[in-house]
Amino acid sequence: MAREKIAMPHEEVEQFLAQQRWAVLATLDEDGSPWADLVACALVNRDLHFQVCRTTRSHANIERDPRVCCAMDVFPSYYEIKGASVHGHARRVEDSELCVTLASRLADPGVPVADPAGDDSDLYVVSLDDVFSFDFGRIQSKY
Amino acid sequence: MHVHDFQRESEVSVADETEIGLSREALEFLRRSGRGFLMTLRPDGSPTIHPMTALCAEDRLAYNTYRKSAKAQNAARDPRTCTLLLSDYEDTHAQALVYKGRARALDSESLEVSRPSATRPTGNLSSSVPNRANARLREGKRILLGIEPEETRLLGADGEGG
Repeated sequence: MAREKIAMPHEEVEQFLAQQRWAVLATLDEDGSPWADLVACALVNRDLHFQVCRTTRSHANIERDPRVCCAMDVFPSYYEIKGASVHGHARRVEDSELCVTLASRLADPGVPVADPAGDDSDLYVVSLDDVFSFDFGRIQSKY
Repeated sequence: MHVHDFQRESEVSVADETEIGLSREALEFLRRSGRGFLMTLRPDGSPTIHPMTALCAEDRLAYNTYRKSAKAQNAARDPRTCTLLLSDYEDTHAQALVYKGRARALDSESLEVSRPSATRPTGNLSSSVPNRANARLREGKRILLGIEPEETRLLGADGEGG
């Protein structure tokens, strides 16, 4: 039996991402293996933005190889599980006006991040061109 | 395969470091944590993340997944993985565990697999969902993916990030 298609349409992905304050970040270590971190994030201008402390391994990884993945999920109950993984190349945010906007959006993400105040961090953006999403509410064969 | 509630064993003392190199803090976090973000490598070498339920098998991180899933196929092609573990499904977290290691298919028949002691909301989920997952495991449609630890790091314990 073919697996059911439970991906969210792009508009719903954007709505979902707009509600998220933090994400799990995957970067690549020097040997090409994955490394994990938690970051504050915000959807602004239909792109996903996130903050990474300059002293972290994740920051060094992005500067060497910008390929990243950011994942978020929610689990109010089993059939309300939703999540998305955003793949792409992280670009540093240089726009000072945007940096000010992001500063307030990225404060207090609720998870242990390095440099939560963002004083020693860089801001990155990744577009929503390559997103894998799931919404268990779309499962037809509920048990 | 025998699945049991790990809550009963949560007070079992362990040495400062286990024989597979996990610190006591990392092992205790692993035992109570069920929210895993498994990272694998796509065919082009870029990272991807699979949010899924984390299990504990012989004091190692493990996942029950379909043999044909992207995560299982990625791990078969390149076993290097990393996982971000959270203890529950709340919106805020004081701690998290980064668990880096190599994946391999485990013999699920000979293992004791523990569900995390932290609770998770199940809503209207009937018990048939986990039962079906275990049945698929016995049928060989699903596999138990064990992650041999190479490096762990607790986030939040001392105010540090990754």
